Amino acid sequence: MINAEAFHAALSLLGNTPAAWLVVPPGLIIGLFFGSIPGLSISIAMAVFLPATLYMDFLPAILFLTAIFTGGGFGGAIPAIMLNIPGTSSSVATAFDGYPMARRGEHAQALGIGLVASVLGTLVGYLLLLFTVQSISQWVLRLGPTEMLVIAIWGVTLIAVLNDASISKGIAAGILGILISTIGYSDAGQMRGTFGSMYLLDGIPVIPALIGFFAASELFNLIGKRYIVDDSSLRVVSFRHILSGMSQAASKPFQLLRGGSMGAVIGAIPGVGASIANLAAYATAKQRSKEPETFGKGNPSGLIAAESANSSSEGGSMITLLALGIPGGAGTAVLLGAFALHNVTGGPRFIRENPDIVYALIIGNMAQAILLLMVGVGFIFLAGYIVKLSLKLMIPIVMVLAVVGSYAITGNMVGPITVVATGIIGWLMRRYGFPVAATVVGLLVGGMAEGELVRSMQISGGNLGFIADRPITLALLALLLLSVLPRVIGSVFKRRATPPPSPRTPS
Amino acid sequence: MRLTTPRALLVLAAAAPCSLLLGTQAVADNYPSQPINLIVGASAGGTTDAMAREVAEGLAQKYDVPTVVDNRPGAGASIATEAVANADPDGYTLLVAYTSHTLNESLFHELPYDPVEDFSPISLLGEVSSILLSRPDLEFDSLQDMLDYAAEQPDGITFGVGGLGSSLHMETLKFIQESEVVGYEIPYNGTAPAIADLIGSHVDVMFAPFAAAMPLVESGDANAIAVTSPERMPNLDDIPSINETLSDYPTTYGWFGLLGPAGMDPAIVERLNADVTEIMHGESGADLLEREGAEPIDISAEAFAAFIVDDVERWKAIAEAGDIEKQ
Repeated sequence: MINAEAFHAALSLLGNTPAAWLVVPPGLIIGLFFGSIPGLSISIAMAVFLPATLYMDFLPAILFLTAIFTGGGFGGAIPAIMLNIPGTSSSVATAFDGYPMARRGEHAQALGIGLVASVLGTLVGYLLLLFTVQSISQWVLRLGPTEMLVIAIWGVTLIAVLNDASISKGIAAGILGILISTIGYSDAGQMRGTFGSMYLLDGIPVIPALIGFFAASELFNLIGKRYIVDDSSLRVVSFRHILSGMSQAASKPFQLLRGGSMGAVIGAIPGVGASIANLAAYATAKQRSKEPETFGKGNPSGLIAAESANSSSEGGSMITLLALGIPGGAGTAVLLGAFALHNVTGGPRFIRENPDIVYALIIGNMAQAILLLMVGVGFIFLAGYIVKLSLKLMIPIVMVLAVVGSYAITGNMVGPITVVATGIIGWLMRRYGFPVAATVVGLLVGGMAEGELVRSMQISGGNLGFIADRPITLALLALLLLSVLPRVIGSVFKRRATPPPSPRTPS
Repeated sequence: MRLTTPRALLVLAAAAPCSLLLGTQAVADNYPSQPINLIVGASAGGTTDAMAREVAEGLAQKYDVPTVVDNRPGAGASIATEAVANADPDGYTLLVAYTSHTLNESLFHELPYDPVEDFSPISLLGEVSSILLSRPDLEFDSLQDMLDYAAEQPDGITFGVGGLGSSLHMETLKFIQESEVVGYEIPYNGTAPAIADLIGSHVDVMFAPFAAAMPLVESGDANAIAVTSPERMPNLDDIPSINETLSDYPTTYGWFGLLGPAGMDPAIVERLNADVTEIMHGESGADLLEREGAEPIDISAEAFAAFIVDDVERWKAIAEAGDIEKQ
């Protein structure tokens, strides 16, 4: 489990490298800043500051970059809660309950909850990493295309859990998302839905689409209102409220642990990572809750699940990076670049030969999480002032940031056009009671499911008997059926017994 | 009064070619007097971007003008390439291109540019080869061993493909054509997920870039069967090249190069060619190339132009033989 000798070596390594500690707070602040501005992303921040690490030793360099990663992970929660803008796919579920809380005037509490959930989620993720870094990589490797296909299909079923509208509207919205995900050059080498435009060859960019569906459509909705929080007496920024939110989150250790461990495990699956982890943890929290109907209306448990899961998925994605040398996402890809800059190659050999450095990285990241608690409190105190800003000023500022930021993400006009187009579609969908969350989930997992299907077909030669030899696929398939069937049967009976619920949208 | 205007015009007309000539001379002497924009068809962080930044830093030091790397990823670099094709050929907008420049012609019906006619090739930065890897539990003593093994499999073997339409995809097609093995391509979105499935033993073999393959081979997570270069690689001389087993195996390279829009002043092209060659032969340039399993190259702009013409034809032949349908 833990190599005690290397663990001690790691502690002394950290103790003897003061530079490693000096770079962490600036890294956290950079991360918080980039993460909290819609359109700027953590991976942009890490790429921008990558050259600065040239002049550092390996350990401080990596700790600096992971500090940006950690800070940015929580930074993304701020616009999700305050403005309903998930800046990354990993904070989509944060907005579901965080934003309704902010609208109710509980913004400070929501930010406090998010901070504690993030910090503890990061700790859980790295704690798991500490114990499993030697063995989990082998487990992750056993997931091939057929296993990933089942996981992707399970991802698609999240649409049903996240859907609060009627079943037909939820399915329609989900299918829209899946259809959007098919635009571009497919995994089978076909070009679809591009109308001959080179700009659509790589498909609809996911992050600008997310910003459009959630943020732009919400901003349209807010037109006519004067402030985010209607009641002026609640438009306050108070440390007491932040602290009360923090203690509220800390009083739910089981929920934190559940979200954190789900995030770490799902985050370790390359490619799926953080974008599904937060949705899956949210869906689980909702299903297990005694009052699932309050989810999407500002239930702190939903926020805790989402934030603890997306933070711990950072530790999960570090598993594949350290153990296999494979980046699971854009952020870890930059870290891999930093490894190369310092002539270090991640992978099993790196772990075998340098266990002290690996442990130092893990322990350093856990310490970062605790530093984030302090830096973060100050940061969210400032962020809380958003409620005092008149919407007349804020809507244009945020719209401009979102559009400009999406240009930075795609490097061409596809980003801004996507924001505007999906913003209009999202606004119409909300108006007519279609759940935008279902569309976003379809967009996120649709392309993945198709790619894995193509690969499964190719590897098996189209022979269904192939999966009989893949016990993990069979086990995952059984789990999928077990989790879906009772709900299907249950809802059939419930629909007969009760009148259909009135349509409304989450978030 | 009526005569003066035409006469003035005549004088102007006579002077025009002269001043134009003086103009170009002055341009070549004064170049560069303003910031140079290096457009890259790949995102920040990858190998092409690293090459661009190396060139940018070197040029900025040599010329004492700001040199900007402008990442415009998308559509297999064709968005960036189109932007440079339509730019002024004044030497201030240049393209850092990679293999897709010559390959896209074989993949797409309507490229908005011609990879040969619309460009002034300047300098070939580096050529890279790939390594044929097998999954960790399949150890072969030679390429012939692998071909024998494949022939015994009733359903053939699977090839992981790191990116449809990439040079690695074309290498896979070419290998299947030349070796006549029964192989199925398993397409992935990029090299990293393909490698993950190789070391997880979900696919049998794959062509991987040198930089990504080396750590796996060293740690034993994958086995190196052969290299695609015509001769063994200097830093990997125990791995045979494919043409030691398959004679006449046609060589193709992945490459990185610097190009400008068509119609650039030859004097500027020549000057850039010499300076960029020097940059890539410098310590950090050579280091960068070595990490990718390549060595600095010293060829003229004309030779690079000929290379591009040939490369377009090479890929076309492979794509046609592999029944790649243009999109």
